[in-house]
Amino acid sequence: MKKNIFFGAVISYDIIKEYYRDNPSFDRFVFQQMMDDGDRTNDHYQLVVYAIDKDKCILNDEKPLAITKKSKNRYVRSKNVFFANIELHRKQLDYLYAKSSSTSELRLYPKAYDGTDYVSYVAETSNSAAITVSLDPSPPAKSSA
Amino acid sequence: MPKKNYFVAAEMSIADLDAYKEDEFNNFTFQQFIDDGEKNDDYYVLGAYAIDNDGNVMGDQIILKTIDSNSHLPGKRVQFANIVVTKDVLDQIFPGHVPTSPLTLVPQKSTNYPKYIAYKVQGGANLSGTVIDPSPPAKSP
Repeated sequence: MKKNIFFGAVISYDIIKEYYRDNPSFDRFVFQQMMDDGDRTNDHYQLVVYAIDKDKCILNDEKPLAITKKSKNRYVRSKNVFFANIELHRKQLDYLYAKSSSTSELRLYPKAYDGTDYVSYVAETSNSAAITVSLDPSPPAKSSA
Repeated sequence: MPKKNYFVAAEMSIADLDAYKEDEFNNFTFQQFIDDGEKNDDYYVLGAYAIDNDGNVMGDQIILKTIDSNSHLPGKRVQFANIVVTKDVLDQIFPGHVPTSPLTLVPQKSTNYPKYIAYKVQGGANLSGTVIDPSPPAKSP
C-alpha cells in the first residue's frame, strides 16, 4: 500500500535573521508542501517556504528560500491528505525568539492537524524545547495573526 | 510503471457559490486533496473554503465535483499552493453578482510559475476563463 510521508525541516538562523530580525517589512513565512520524486511508489512531501511582507508581496524574488529536509522526522498518512498553505507570523517568531541573543535554527515537525486530514507542524528552536508554536493549515485556520 | 500525479478539473455548483452573495465575503480559497492516497497513482482534486474580509472561514469546507476529462499531468516535481479566487474575479464572471452557472476550474501548467499548477476559472459571462496562479508565489490578493 502506498504511503504519503511528510517530513520535518530546518531553517537556518541566517534566513531568520535576514527576514525576521533585519527586515522591518517582513510579516510572515508561508510554507507549502512539494514532492520532487512524484514518480516513486511512496510520496515524500517536504516543505518549501517564502518570506512575505506586510503588503503580501514575496521578499525573496518569488523563489523558495533554502530549507533542509529532516529525514528522521516524519508523519505518515495513507488514504486522505489535504494540502494547504501554512503560515508562521512575526508574532509567533517573537515568542520563539524572545531572547534577542538567540541565534538558533528553526525546526519544524509534522503532525496531524486537529483530527483532520490536514498536516500541521510544530516549530521550535534550540533555545528551549518547551517553547513551541503550532503552524496550522490556512484555511481552515485563520490567515492573519 | 512510474507513478503518475493527475490534477483534476472541478466544478463548483451554484449552491456552493452562495457565500459569494454575502456582504462580508472576500474570496474562495481552493486547495488540492487526495482521497485515494493509498493507490499507486494520485488524483488531486479540489476543496474550497469561503473566506470573509477578516480572514475567517465562512461555513463548512466545500468539496468540488470532479471533471475527470480535464486532468493535467505534471512531471515528477509537484508543488501545492492555495488558489485564491476573489470577489473581483467572480464579479467579472457574474456581473449581476448572482451566480448564473457553476464555476469550473481547469488545471494547467502555470506560465508565470512553471513548477506550479494554475487553474483557469470559467463560468457565467466569462466562458474564455481567467487564469489564477498559486499564491504564493503569486501575490496574495
